[in-house]
Amino acid sequence: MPGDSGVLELIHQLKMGFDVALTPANFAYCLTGAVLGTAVGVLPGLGPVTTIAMLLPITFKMPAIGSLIMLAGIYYGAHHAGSTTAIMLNMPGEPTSVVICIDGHPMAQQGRAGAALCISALGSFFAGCVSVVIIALFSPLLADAALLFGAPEYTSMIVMALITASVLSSSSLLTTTAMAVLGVLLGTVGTDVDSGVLRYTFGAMDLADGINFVAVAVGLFAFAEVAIHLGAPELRAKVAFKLSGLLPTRADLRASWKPILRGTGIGAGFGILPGTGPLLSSFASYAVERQIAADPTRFGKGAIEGVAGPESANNAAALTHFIPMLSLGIPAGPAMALMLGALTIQGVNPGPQVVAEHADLFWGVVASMWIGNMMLLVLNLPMVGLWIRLLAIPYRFLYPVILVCCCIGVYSVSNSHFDVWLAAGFGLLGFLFRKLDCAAAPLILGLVLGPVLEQNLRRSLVISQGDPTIFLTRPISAAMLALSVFLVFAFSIPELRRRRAAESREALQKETQ
Amino acid sequence: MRVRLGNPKEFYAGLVFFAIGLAALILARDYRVGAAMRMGPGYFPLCLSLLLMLLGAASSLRAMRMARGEPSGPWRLAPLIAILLGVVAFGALVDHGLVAALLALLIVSTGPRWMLQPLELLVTIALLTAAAVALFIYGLGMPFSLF
Repeated sequence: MPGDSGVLELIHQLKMGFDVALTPANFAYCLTGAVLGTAVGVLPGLGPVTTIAMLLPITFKMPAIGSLIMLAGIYYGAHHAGSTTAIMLNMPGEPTSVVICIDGHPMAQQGRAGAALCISALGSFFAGCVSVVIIALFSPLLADAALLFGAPEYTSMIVMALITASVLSSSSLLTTTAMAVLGVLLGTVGTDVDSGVLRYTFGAMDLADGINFVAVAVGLFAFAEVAIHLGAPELRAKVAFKLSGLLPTRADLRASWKPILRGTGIGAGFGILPGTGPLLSSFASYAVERQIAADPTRFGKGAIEGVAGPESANNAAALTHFIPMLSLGIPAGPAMALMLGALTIQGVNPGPQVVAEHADLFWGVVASMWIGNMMLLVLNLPMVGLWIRLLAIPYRFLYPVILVCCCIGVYSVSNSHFDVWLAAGFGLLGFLFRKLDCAAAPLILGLVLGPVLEQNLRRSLVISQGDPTIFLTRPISAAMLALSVFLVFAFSIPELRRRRAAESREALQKETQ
Repeated sequence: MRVRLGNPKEFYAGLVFFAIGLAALILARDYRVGAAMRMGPGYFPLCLSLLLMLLGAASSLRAMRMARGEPSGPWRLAPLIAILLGVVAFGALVDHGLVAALLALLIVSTGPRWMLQPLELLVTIALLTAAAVALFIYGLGMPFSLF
């Protein structure tokens, strides 16, 4: 923890951050991001990752700070919007909102949708505020520590990030790891920085600079998603109940504030670890609330604690995800991987030096997150009726819009029609993977981290003169590898996996009831 | 005799990974591997493709021994093909003009629905093309040619 002078410095830096975030342009970017994120995020079948992939190219022409502020706004806006659809329609906008369905939707059916939405907005806001403080406190510390890392530590850290992301994905460990490896392999496409040899380019100069990650993300997430959605029988969203009385009762508030605190703690704890998603934290928070409730049988039938806790955990984890991305250059999930890619396109080299070298960017974004969370509260409470009306738009009007945004977006990254075709190819691959239950998130992570991994592996092995034990003899690196191995074992013990499967089945059953 | 698969999805996923790994291995055969101390351009791809093949094979073998798994469900390919063809058409035309490219994208990607709601589609496409041109060319100033 920083001492007295540290506190002063922190205040000084936060003030600088607010100065940056409150310039009219940046304020407008933040508002635009939060509104766009909320609007697109409530639409069925458009989670944060697809939303960001779709809207990413709009930000390329902006200054680096503005674009990151806007992307962050889209990210948390879309994240929170997922729970609105969960409560109103029993349709999680994003897997992380599955938990919100369990008790949020029954509340809506009982005519308490307003209370559920309000508590989830308040919980989210509280978690957001706490998380921003945590980001401000921990990112610089972590970045300082990481500045001491050498190539071996970096290599192990990237391996750990990829393994945790694979372990904690929903499908089988072997396939998710294979997806991550495939991502890293795709990352080798293009010119090898060391020798200048062109790898896997098939003579296409369009691939000499590597695969365009926006094309991959749009193909794997957006195109595949649209194809799957159109192939499935249309889930017509029906908002059957009126939204009367937004305000929760005093009893609701009394029941919620402790779960909100606990959820925030759980979410912030999990969010800092690379790879662990908001999904895990919202499940954990739900389990905790049910465990300690005086009457656990109320859960699944509209217990407000089951909305307050997981929603806070979800948002806390979503925001603390920024810590490894901003301070280490290691994205903790696919949405962060996209933002990292956007930073690179903007000419900001991600890594621990960002906090110091681009202090205005770091503190500006941190301050904007706080402002953005305020905006979300305003956007979500009085205007919730408007968002719910958006839900009623039939999918057949939506998907052409998605396709147009995606195509124009992919093309405009480098004005290359080749990238558009590449995205179509990855759409095909993404459809195949979806049908085979292979999560695409580890692939994107691998693609973004792959080149960094290769460089650091190469450097480490030069340092050690080809001796691979260097990763085990350096203590920090060894600790990170040990943690990865532990995670793999912990999650591949059949008993644990069975229990996890049973739990999610239970959740699904409840959700469909 | 028909081989009974425990978990068809994971089995086929494993095959896909194995095949991609093998292809990557063959394509990389001309890249100099070098030694661990001085990794050549082929070193990392070699390790990765072998690892991918290993993971793919392990995943398929495991899936065969698994108790049961749900089949992958019906594969409705028509929407996928329409969308991807639309995107390819967009790519082919976009250098010549945004309007043509957007029209091609929208007309092809909504292909399966032309029999059902032709009028609605016509209106949607006209409005959407106009809106996209207004937003991206005039609003955001992206360097597209119109026609």
